[in-house]
Amino acid sequence: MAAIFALVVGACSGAGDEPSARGGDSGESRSEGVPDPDATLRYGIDLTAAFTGSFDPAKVRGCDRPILDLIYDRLVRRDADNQLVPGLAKSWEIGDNALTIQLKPNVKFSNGEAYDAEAVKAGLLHNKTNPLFGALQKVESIDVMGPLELRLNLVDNSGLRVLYGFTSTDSWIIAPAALETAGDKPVGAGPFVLERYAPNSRIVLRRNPKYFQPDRFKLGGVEFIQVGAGPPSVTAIRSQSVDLVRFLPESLGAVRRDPRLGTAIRKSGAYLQVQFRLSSKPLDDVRVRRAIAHAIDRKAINEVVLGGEGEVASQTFPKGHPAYVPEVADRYPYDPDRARQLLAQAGHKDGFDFEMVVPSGVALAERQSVIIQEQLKEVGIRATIRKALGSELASIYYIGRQGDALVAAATAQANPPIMLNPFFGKGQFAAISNGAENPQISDILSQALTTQDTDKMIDLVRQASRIVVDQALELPIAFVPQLVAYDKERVGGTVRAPFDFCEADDFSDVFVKKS
Amino acid sequence: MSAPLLEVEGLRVQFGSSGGALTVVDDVGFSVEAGKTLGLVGESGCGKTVTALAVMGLLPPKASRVQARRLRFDGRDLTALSRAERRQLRGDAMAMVFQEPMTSLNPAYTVGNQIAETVQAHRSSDRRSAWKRAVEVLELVGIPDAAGRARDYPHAFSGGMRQRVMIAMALANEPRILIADEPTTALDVTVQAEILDLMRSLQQELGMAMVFVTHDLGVVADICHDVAVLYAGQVVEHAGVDHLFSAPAHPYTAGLLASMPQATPAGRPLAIIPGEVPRPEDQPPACRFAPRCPHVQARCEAALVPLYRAGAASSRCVRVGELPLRGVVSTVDDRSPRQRPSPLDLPHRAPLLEVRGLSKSFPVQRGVLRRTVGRVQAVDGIDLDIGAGETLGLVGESGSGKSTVARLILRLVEPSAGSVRLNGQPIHSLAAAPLRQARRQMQIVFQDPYSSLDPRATVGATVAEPLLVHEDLSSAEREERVIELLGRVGLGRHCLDRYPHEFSGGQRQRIAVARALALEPQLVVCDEPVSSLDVSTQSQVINLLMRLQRELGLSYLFIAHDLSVVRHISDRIAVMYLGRIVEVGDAEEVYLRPTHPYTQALLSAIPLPDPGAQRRRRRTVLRGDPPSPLQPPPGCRFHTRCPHVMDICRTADPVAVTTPGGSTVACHLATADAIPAGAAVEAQSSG
Amino acid sequence: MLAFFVRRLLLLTPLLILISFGVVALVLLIPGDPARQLAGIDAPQAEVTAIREQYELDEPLLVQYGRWLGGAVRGDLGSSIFQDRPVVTELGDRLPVTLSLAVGALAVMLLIGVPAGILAGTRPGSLLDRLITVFTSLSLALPPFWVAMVLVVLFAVTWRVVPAIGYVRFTDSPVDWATHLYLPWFALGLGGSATLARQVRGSLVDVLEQDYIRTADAKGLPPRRIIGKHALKNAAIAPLTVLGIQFAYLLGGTVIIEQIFSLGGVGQYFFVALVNRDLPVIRGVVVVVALTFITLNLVVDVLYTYLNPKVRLG
Repeated sequence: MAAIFALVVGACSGAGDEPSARGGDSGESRSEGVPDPDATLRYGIDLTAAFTGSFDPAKVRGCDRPILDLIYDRLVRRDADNQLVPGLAKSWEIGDNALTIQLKPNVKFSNGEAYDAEAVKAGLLHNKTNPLFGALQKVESIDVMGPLELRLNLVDNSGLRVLYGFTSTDSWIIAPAALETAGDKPVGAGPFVLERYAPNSRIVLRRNPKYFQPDRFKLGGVEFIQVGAGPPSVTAIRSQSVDLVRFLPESLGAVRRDPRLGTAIRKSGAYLQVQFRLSSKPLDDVRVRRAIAHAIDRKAINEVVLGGEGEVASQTFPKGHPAYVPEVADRYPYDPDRARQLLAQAGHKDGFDFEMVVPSGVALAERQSVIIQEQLKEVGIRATIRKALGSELASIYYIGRQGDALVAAATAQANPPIMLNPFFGKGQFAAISNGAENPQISDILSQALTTQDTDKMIDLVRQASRIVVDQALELPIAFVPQLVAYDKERVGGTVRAPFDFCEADDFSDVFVKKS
Repeated sequence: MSAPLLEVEGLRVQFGSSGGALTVVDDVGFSVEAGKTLGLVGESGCGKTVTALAVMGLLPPKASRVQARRLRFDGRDLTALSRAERRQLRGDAMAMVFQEPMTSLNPAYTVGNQIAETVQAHRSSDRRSAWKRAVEVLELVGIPDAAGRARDYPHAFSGGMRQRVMIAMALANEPRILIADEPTTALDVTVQAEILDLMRSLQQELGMAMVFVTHDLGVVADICHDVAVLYAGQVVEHAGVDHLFSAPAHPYTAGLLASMPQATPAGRPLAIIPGEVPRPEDQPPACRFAPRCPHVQARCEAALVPLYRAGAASSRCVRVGELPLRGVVSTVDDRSPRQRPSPLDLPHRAPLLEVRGLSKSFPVQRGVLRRTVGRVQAVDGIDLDIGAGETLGLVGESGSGKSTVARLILRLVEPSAGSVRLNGQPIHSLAAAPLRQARRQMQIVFQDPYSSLDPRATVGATVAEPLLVHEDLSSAEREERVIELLGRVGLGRHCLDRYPHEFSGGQRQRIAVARALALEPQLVVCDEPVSSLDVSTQSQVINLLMRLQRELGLSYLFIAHDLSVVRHISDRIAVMYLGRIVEVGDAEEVYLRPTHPYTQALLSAIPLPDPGAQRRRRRTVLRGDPPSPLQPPPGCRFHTRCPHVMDICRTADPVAVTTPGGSTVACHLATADAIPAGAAVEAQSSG
Repeated sequence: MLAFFVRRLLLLTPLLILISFGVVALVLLIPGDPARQLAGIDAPQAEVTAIREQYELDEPLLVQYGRWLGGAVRGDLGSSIFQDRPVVTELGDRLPVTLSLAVGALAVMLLIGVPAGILAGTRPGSLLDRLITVFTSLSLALPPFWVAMVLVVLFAVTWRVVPAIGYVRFTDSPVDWATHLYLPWFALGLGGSATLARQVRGSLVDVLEQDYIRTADAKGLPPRRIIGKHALKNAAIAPLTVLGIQFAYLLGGTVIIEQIFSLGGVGQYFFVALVNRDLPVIRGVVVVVALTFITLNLVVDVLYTYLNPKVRLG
């Protein structure tokens, strides 16, 4: 199911921006034991969604990060607080329409080639051919300044955005000798190397002895095993076919009942939301939108749909996120009476009819939509549900402009302005369709996207977010938890849930116990 | 007299659970010697087949219970044998041939395989020698190219040939006794004659005993030495065949003999046995025949009747010996002038129905592109007239095109050429509305009364249906008409709300007749209306049709393969062969002085219900099946089977000529004025 | 026989063309834009346009189709829009999985359905017959995914006698191949076995009342041979004629079964492609599945003529 979920949400991996790190909730789970340095971790994953079929970054089209990141590693990483920290790059400097990067010395690809400025330049230019790598599209040219120094000449002042892009997919560098053959024989500088690939069935990675941080991982290898998303993933771990899986909130009960299983839960930046078509009456009236916001009991939805493991959302960013605005957190408490009052003021004393488009087959969205429908009925709003299959969704709602609202789930983006820009920025596809292009917000966001200063960027995003909440331009419901289950008797160390569905796992403190 | 091979005494067969068991065979006894043939005769429902199956041990063991005072075969007590031992006898010393050759062979295996299998089931022979034996017996029963045909599947054989295969299979292990259950009933009369000849000669060759189950007294007269007459599950008479036919000792036997069409002069009502065979659940307590018996007395209904000895015969009748029962003294051979002149003989009367040059061919498609590669000429340029109030009989073997003619006349199919006029109106060029009117004048009664009536419609609804379509009547008026119609065919108003399954075959045929009469037609086409009925029921229906004709002035086109029935009801008879009419003429003329060799052969194939006459008869037996209508022989179509074939017959189509007797015949012999003495005539006169 | 095959082959080509064209046309009727799907809703229109061009999605239907057909006759069914593997390669990997699954399920269906049908059909009304009727009714009422889940919980989770997920190639290890497929086979084949048992039973009851069975009995053949030789061959005709449809159900069922047992088969491939509106994959799978069916029907027809000699191939 997660496969569809990710695909429907659409904004997934490709755009080159990274799920946001979250403070407060570490999403960690520990299990004690003695590591077996040669053992392989069996990781159940839905390869149909998480693997494009090619190990070449330029071909990547899905959420391939859990696999490719272990082979290639990244120039820049993010810490738990969403701060940029060095990866294979030692340091960087954002200039006017430029980004300068210093590489770490003595890094080698697994084939022995040097990880130097020429290699990185070739790798980045190669990756730029992937139209889905949005950050790299900002790179006009690359100058090699020294053996370990490069300057990226950018089309605009988007250095910060490019760096965020490098924290996810865009900076996977292929060894020069393997540029043509990386599709099935990848050579990278990451902690693991590909040992075996059985299409649609398994991918086996072995430890890379030449990795520049040899002690970072305690695993002898990682074996990705095809497991269907949803209930099959839980069956797989319960039958001990795999050691670790991600799973969906609907399976929380089954996982918790199994004493052998441990869980790591992290409240991610992805959230359940209702998008309004602001051009559609009476949603163009702010009072009506506010009425709807008051009419929805988000806590109930979190309990029922997310097993209580999500976080009730008051705005686009979760608590602890740098862009979180505490002042607007209580702007729309659950209050049906207030909702009715607002409706009456807006001249809709007897409610009104509207149609919600819901992606079919996406359990979270479907279940959420039913509850929303019920809660709106309480205040007299008659919502109908129209289901649309993943591929039709964009056509029906965005292109065909059918329906008054979209009940869906939005993915988390690492670069904060990107969380808002598609929905309210000028000339943005979804914004146009929703009639939600907002000049004020658009202005703020375009500044945020081109500033070189992280703090300033955060401040601008908070400004934009304030307006969105005040005008009730969208309705965030709850942040979706990312859930990992692992076999406590096999897996030791600290298991961390990822920030988002598409995010790579952090296995740096995970090991397989000696049996 | 040698010891009997098969002895049956006090055989009783019950069906169903012990609580509601139905006794369908009760106190049946007979015996057969080697080399002899016993006939088991009776109407359907009398227990003939069940008796045969019980003797073979073929009744389902769970659903039936077989008891017998004595059931011995070749000195062994069959009742004491285990099921496995009975099975070892079956197909080996005891063999059986069934009624339906079309369905009794497994369609999925070659005939050779099925015969060889019988051999291997009882002999420790290898596949090769079993196959050899299969070819041998196929040769024995007269299958041409037996070695090749053994590799064919059953569907590649005609009905007659399949029955030969069945016989071959039964003979594969040289049985000591052969039980044949109506083996010729489903076959054409010409084929029947062949099969009977074959069985007789095989019996002489192999010296086996035969039990011949049949309802046809002619067949009995032809092939049996002794006869056991069954009625309502009991043997009512057991006698030698000559004795039985000349001096029946039981009124039922006498009734059966009398109801044969040959026993009554043409045109007169046939003798009948009133009523029907009682069902097992409502048997009369004493004499079971009493309710239908013309000689019934109080004592008949007083006590159970044992089998009395009466000279050489035995009879289950308390009045045995005291009744003046008539046998077949001699077959009725009235050369008396016709009872009534054919209406066509009257001057200035145009015929009701005029058929001219009527032809119908069906395309045969083959190959990758389903091209038409040939045409089957089902009906090939026939002329027919039927006058008002007249009956025209149409006879021929299956495949001769009889039924196609009926469908063409009713315009159920469109002709390839020719015309049909009813009252001068050309049926085939009528528009929809006048056609509806014309159709009212023509109705049809089909052969199978079981499938031609809608099982979910009541009798009242069935008969009222044509009225609903064609007449604007109130429902009361309509009901009145239906009751009147049912009355005409001898059914009471209590039948109105009943369903077809509650009626016997004869009654259903009456319902079909009532439906046909609803619109007061002028012409009724009867397509084999009595072929599926027992002889006494058949007589009842024939009598009904004749009575209705008198009362209503109907015309009939009466299609049948049984010439004796056709002769009885018809004013004129037309004989068809391979889509053509080979002879047409006055019924008595055609029957007694057939001119065309085919007509002669048809007639001589009908076994006479007189054992003596049948034995003395010289028969014209046709060899083989009719040729395929896809490739009809050139010249006279009959020449491939004609005993009198001449060179000219192979090339030239004979022209129809009128004989001195007034018949129209298409035969070169007739043209040459060299009409051979009719074989049938000779047989008739010698009886 | 030869003419029969020639005619079938002649019919095959236009049929496949028709099917593939139908699929192209049908998919166009369903709203949805794979390029937008791929780019994401936050992508600028330029990016979507670039993707459309890259995958030639903007060309007229006939041009797209012609290009596809040209490739197809050379064995190139194009590449998935979402996955970087040629459809032919992917099918080459996945078809063995699905066929293993479907053929195994067919075997389960036959191994359970035929004996159950024979046992019931030769003893109509008996206790055994009624028990089998209960079994068939139950099996038909149970949805395959439910059966699959129960089987997994019992055999893979609780007793752990067989693995719950995955596929091992037959060539790698025949034993592992089988142990991984026992549960999917059974889950997929059970419903069909019930249908088959009913058909065999009904057919057998009919056949056993045929005259030629009495003939076989009259020949003194033992009951085993009467049923084994004379009844079964004829009784097989009716079930065989629907076997093609049964197999279609099986193939349909593989979609959900592959999902549950994490088997990387064609069903899973097709399902994801359908959701994503991945045109090249949909086309390729439909054509290959159609080919499979045509082959299957050919086999059924040949078997049919073996069982029923009246039917001549021609």
